[in-house]
Amino acid sequence: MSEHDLTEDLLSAYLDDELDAGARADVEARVAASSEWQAILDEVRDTRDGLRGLPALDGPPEFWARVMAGAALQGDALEGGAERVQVVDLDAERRRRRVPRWGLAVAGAAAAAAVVIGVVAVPQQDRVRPAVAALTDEHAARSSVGNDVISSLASIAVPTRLGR
Amino acid sequence: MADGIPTWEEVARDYGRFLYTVAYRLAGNDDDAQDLVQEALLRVRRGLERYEPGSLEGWLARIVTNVFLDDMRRRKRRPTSALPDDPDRVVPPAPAADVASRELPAHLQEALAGLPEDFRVPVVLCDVADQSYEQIATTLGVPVGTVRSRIHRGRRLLRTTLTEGAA
Repeated sequence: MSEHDLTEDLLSAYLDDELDAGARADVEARVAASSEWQAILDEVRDTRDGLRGLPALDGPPEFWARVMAGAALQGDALEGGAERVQVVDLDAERRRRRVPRWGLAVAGAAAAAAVVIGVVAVPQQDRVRPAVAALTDEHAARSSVGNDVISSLASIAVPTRLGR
Repeated sequence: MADGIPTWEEVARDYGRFLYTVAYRLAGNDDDAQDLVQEALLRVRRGLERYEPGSLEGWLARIVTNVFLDDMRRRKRRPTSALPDDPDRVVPPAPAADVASRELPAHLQEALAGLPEDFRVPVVLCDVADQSYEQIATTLGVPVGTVRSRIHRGRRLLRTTLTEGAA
């Protein structure tokens, strides 16, 4: 590889050991002669090392449980006849898993609407209307039978409305 | 495992974390990573009979990448806000990796997810899935020279993003 062919992207290939011996030597010579290339090489190496140092990740346990359960169903289907066991539909699973997001939003909106209706549309019960007259009459009848002197002295005129 | 061909359960058990990690680095979020892994494992199940013993991780990386690219083409959407690693998902790194990860800017994952997919995919395949340029070229159906260029430009873009973010 001639000097003319050297392009900067060879630096990553150099780091990744993706160059043949000749190209590798050319890059090393260029890096040794150019502070700019040296700086780029250092930056790319840092970035590459950072990426390679990113931790491994694992899905949530319930995800793997779902995957394995779905696989078991599919295995049964393959062995026992597909018509007997319903195979898990991954697209449906995906939709189902994502329903709670908008489902919660709908439920929240419904709850809010119910509160609004409750406050605005339903008449407020701000007055108590006990059946005072009927109770008084009943008590008077009982006390007269029982010769309750005190109750017999009570006024007959009792307010039937205790509003504010 | 018979004749070097693993069962589906073995793949899911032994390589599930690898699949999920690659999927997460490609997609940038947990939901999409789960979708990718499920679909990839479905394709693994269908394709195991045709699997020829060799680099199983290479084969799996190709499958999950194809699922990702198919998904990108179909849904025409990408995560607009990359999330940092979910602490609950992080597997304790090996001691050698731990040194590097402590020195990382916290938003490396965010910067990675923000890379255009033309750069992100080869970078992830190279630096996360540990695939050779030739394997990546085969997976993506592009020349090795294109892979080399995209990996380098992707890393430089990442570097720029991280530097600007730190400033």
